[in-house]
Amino acid sequence: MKDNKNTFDKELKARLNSEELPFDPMAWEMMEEKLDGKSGSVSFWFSMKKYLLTGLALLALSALIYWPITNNKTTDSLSQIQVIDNNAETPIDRNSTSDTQPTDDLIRKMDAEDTQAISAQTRKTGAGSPLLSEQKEEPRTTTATVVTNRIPEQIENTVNLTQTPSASSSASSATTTLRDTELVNSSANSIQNTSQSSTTKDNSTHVPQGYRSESTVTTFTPRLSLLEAVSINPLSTSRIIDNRIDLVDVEPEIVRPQHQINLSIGAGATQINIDEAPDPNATPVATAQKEMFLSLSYLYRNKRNLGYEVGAQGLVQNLRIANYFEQGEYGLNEPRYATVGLNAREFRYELFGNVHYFLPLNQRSELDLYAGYYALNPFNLSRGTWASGQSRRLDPRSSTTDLVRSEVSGRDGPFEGGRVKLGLNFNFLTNRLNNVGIGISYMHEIIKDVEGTYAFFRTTDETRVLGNLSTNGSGFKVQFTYGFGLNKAPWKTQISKKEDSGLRSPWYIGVGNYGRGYRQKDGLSRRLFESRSTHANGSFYFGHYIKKKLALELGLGFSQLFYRTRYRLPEHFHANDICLITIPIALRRDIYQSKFITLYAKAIASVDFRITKEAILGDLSSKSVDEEKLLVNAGLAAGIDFRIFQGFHLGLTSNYNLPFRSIATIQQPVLVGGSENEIILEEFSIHNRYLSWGVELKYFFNR
Amino acid sequence: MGLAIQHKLKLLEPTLDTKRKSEQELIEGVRSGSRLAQKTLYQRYFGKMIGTTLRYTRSKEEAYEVLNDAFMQVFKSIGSYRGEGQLSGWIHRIVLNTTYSYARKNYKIKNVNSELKPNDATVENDALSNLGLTVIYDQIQKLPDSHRTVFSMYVLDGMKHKEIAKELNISEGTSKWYLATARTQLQQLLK
Repeated sequence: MKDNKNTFDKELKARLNSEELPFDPMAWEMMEEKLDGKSGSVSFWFSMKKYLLTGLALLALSALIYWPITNNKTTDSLSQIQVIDNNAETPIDRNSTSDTQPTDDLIRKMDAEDTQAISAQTRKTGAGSPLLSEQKEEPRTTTATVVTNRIPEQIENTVNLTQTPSASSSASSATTTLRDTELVNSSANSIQNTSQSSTTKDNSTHVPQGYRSESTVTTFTPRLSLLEAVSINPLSTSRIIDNRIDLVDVEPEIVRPQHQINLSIGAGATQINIDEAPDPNATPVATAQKEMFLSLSYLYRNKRNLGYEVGAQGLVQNLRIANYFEQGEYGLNEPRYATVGLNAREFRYELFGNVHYFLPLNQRSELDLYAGYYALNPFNLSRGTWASGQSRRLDPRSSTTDLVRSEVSGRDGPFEGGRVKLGLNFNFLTNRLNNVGIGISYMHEIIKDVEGTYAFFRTTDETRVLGNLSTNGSGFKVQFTYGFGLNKAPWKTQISKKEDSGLRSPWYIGVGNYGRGYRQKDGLSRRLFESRSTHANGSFYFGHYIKKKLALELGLGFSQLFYRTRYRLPEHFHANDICLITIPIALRRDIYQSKFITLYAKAIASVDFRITKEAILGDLSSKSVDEEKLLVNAGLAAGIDFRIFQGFHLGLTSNYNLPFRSIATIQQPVLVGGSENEIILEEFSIHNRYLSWGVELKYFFNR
Repeated sequence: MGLAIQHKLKLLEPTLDTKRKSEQELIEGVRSGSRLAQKTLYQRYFGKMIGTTLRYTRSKEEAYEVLNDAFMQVFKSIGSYRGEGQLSGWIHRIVLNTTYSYARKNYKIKNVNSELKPNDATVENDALSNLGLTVIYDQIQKLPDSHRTVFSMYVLDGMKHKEIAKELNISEGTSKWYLATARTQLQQLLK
């Protein structure tokens, strides 16, 4: 059996040693990431961070030196430093006076830090630190004046720390090593950590007596607690940094405010449902169905992931219908275009409640999924109804005839008119602990609140065309929210291992300029539509990497589509400008990252706000019968970024945009006859379907 | 030395020189921080070194991580390589040390009751020759951490139980028990 084992072992060893696995490029990619994270090609911002921390450390040291000088000179009441002999017979009761309480807390914090340091040291040395084993039961201490010669005499008498010989030597070495830039950074981190940590109060009992610096108790007034920490701790905390050189980065631990006042502004689509009239040629189209809203709310987070929101929302809806009357219809001797607003209580307010579920992406960013109910005019007590609204456009030939007229009536109240909302926000926290959120939502009207009729050529005696319509507040909305945090908890800082921040700084802004090639959907549109140029087509955006290779972008774009129809009557043509303001939200995934080149792909969702400016030449004009819309698009983009110099990247990008609705519907006179030059109106739609390409300039930065 | 042998050696000299020269250039390149040189060195020794980390780790990705840690060390300390001995041997030592250190740090290898007798199963070797290299490594990685570590140290790296015991801070009996159990388990896996 032994022979068998040996044979197996030998065969296995021979097999594994004689053959080699092929090279795997993935391994080298991982290696490159490691090299980029560690090598000397450290990013500029990392260097900046070091310099910043160095500056902070120097500032803290300056404060350490400056503060005692000024306080000793000016007022003793602000800075009382008592030296208490540890060998004195009377034990110190730390809780006996309120004046010493803040200092005691501070000392406990310091002790806790020291405990952690000692624990770390113990773990490293394995057998245990001599500080722990030998000096545990020895209260014997010596007083070491740490700050000497370099500061004025009055400080020398006040800033004393009592330490064991070993602690003293550590302190001395730490003082020496403070000259080293990196350790100064670490020292600064330790200072911050010590001064702001609030979770380690009770650890002082575990600290060996000999290691404490309690024989010198420095008493300060609570008003100067921050400076206390700065002035007391550097030397004591710097004792530990020799053993913690791997801990070099400060990562802020951010506590989100539990209470928040939100101010939101947004816009979105609504709907007008128009029933066909008995005359199929006489059904108006909806030319404006949109709303803008402004809301004020209170958000309470009872957990990190869960929040409740109540608030009020005011909104303005723009609801219009229009019809193009051809020459000869209803006795008209010329074509006429008539539009009318619905006057369907277009200024309104809603009270709402939302439940939020927050999905943290990192300390600052989160996804916010929420749902809630929006009650229409809930305090209106008029039995759930309101008087009819009406609007009319007179026939220019007769002041008693309405060319187009709408009449609507509706209901409101908490259970008479309302919508449910389902939304998704991307939230990020500012330095002031306020929240900035951008998002998209869908509102669905569950109770029809406005119903009515439309009429053409209505007089007191006769109505030529009569049909029904209703409004529907359902539709997609986009919104921007600014949340003011209340009862802000202080930001805690902690020392943590530096994570590989990769090649990218986490934030970036960019501008781009693009060209577009449009492609229309149907044959008629392709035949009639002639894209001439895109005068202006640019965007501005900012992005944030939520993972190493994954970023979220929010942008603002403007584009101008100047088109001309192929109407070939010599003296008549139609030109039109369609301007779009676009708000895209994109998810960017970096496919390949290196120091100089990044390849990426993007998935984009965007909404377009259309602004139409018509330029009609000639006496036969085409008409846009669908004037104002909010359009939703989806898109895919790909691009490549080249680093031109530190932080700045020049990119080439291409984007395919797929709209869900047409950008405009045009009724266009078309010459169809031969010699008789017969002209008919044809309706065609322009779609914002395009392939764009462009140049972008991006700037990557840290906050 | 016969003439024929001398002649053969003479013919080989330029090749050896070229190889040595290119290796020296490579080392210089790595020393100066050239990414290309680093990649060439990495690529050249990847096949030889990855086996070592594969047999001590749980997955391919983990093995790459350990190997990359070792190569980071190689790139960092290549200045200390004085050309004594083969470069591959020097790199292999670093890879081994890094791997052992990783195993010690990440795998809890406990002492077992030394009275436990390992289950001595009959060893069958037929399957081994029919299996691909990747499959063998996959099966080794399926072994429990302790078993895999001891087995690799003893069988593949030729360490004695005494050395293993010292390296992993376990008893010799424990080392033997892990080895025997690992061997049995591996044979089952390789069937």
